[in-house]
Amino acid sequence: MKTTSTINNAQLFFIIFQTQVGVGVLSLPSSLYAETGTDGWITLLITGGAIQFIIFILYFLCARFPTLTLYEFAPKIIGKYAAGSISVLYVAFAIATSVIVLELFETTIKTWILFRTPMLVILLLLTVSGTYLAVGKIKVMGRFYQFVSILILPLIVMSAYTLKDADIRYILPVGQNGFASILKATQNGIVSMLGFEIVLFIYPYVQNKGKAALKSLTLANIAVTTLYTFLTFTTFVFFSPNQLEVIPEPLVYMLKGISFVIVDRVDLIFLSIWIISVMTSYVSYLYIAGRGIQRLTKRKKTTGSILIASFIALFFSMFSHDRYTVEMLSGYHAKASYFFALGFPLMLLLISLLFKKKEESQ
Amino acid sequence: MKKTWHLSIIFSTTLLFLTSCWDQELLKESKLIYGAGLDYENENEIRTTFAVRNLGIPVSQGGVYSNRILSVSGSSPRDTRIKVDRVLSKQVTASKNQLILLGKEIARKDIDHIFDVLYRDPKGPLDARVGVVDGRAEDMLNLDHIGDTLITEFMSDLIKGAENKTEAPPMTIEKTFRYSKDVGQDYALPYIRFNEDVGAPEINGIALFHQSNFTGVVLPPFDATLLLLMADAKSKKASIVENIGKEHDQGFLTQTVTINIQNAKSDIEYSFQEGNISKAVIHLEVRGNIEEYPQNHLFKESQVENIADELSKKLTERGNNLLTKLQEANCDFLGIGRDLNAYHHEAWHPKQWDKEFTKLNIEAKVKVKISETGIIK
Repeated sequence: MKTTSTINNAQLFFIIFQTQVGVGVLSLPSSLYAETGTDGWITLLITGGAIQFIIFILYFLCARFPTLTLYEFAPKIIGKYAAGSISVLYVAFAIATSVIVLELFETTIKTWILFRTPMLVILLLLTVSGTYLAVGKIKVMGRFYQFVSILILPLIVMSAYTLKDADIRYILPVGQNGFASILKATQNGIVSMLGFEIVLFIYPYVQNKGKAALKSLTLANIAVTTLYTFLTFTTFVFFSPNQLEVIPEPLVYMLKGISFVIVDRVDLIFLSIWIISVMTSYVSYLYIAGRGIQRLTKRKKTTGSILIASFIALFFSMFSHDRYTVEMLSGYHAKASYFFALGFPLMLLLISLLFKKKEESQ
Repeated sequence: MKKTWHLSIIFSTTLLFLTSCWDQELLKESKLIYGAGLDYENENEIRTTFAVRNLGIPVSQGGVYSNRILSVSGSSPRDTRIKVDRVLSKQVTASKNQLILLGKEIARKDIDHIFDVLYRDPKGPLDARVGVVDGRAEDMLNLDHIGDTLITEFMSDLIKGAENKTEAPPMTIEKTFRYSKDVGQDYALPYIRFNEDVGAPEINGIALFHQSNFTGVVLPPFDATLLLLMADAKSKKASIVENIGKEHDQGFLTQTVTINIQNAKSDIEYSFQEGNISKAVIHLEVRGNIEEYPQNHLFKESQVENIADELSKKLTERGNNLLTKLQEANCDFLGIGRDLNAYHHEAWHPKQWDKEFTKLNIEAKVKVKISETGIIK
């Protein structure tokens, strides 16, 4: 493996982090509220723990095949044909995720910023720039993600500013809806924090594998959990409970009310930064899909297959776009994602442990 | 490979230039609403008065700012906006609106219904100030200007001024949204009245709201200050003028003392009986400086202490009176319901809170401390 296509541990951290932070963050507080009321922010902490457990599984699986991606090691575990169908499913899943990202991106931009801009133009904005980034090397992606992560800081500062109008009594008493509902809401949390499964596809490119890589993964998970909990917390103490019921995107709504002397609409700045986080998630899934197509069609270069993936995603995202359709689609997608983030990797790990399958050391 | 790259670059650069074409809103092509007044017309209609800014000759070229006041009636606030758009030459935009005035009559209806369009519209001005007008908002906006100041600027400055002096709570549309949806806390909006003597509008206290309806009860500015202090919401400045002791009255203008409040601390103590709240005592402690005391010079510490004690007594009395008014209005301004939910959850019955609050035994205990007497004794 050439050194030019490897990523260091910081880049691994940022790739995982940026893939996880994405479209979900805007609607997360209200979907958590719908499930467990004002205790939703605790749910996120528990979700973080659950994800850490999944990360261990993914890590152990990857560590058994340190130079191979899932597309390459799956045949060694379960044979060519089963692995082929799993690969196809993964490609389909990655493309479906890209479609959901595109659709949510489009609806949000359309409701908040660009009311009259044609749908295709908004979709192309993300598709073109995203595809351009995805066809670059993994190292370019890593560096880009690392570079744009600085933009998370203004997001935190903006939300922290609203704390001056916060009322802590809105979330007290903690646990008023019972522990069961907090646990039940973890599924809503996990869905918006997906993205860690990209490690299955980039692990071979990490320079320092083993403990160092696991550390990056864990740190990324901690960072995402903290960020999400903080953002959710700020909206929960800002809006009165009954208000959260009627606001689907509380984070943006919260920032819409504040204005400074120079900046009048903080929510627009927030969304502009959020777009970048959306793009990074989109690029990651495009990359997963592209690598899968490349592997399945036995191409040498990824460029063509990533282009194919982005065209398919663009095509499907051009269908119906109203809020309710998108919500329904993401519901199905959320259920499916359990298999891809946990089910299949766990199965592969168990089989490989059972039959002692593992990459031969070179 | 190279070609794709080039294409992508060209494509994305062209996109950059294209995006705003659909959504650009040029200032020169729109008319900005700077203020709106809402009034009750009849059972099915609302009258909205818009103050639309004329952007004719720029001020730098000798022009003057002026508003055009238009009044339309329709079946909803949005309907009136659409109607006003028909009589104006350019596209009407409300995103810069800084002032919403509610007529007294319409404020008694459900303001959530009236404000729906403001909450729903992504360009809605959530940070606009809201005020209730004694009479009709239409008449107030029709004043057009007070002296050199346009009515819209005048009104929002009036409200902001009252906020700074702790005479009105800082209420924007967003806050109204927040509290009108909240079972456990109510709010109040600045109450504006036309002062006939001066010939100009003035802040005449705060209008108490229960959920999304004006209760009809108005607290005068002085009580408003005291109430805001009880709610731990002291703004930049807060002054209290109070008559004290008849025996001190030794001549013309010597009945009062004015103190400037430096800091205030309020704490509510609850007692319970059989899982229900039985009593709430509001302990308010204010520390202030004497701003004016024409009666005497204060040489001894005991004199100052006497004033403080008498003030404490008077303010406690006033506090209790205003709490009774709050209960009559059923306006849980202090958020006692919120407190119960948060800290005494077992005694919190959201469905009965409306009834419980009016029957609750609430008491105020004000303690005044004076630390300075100005630059003379």
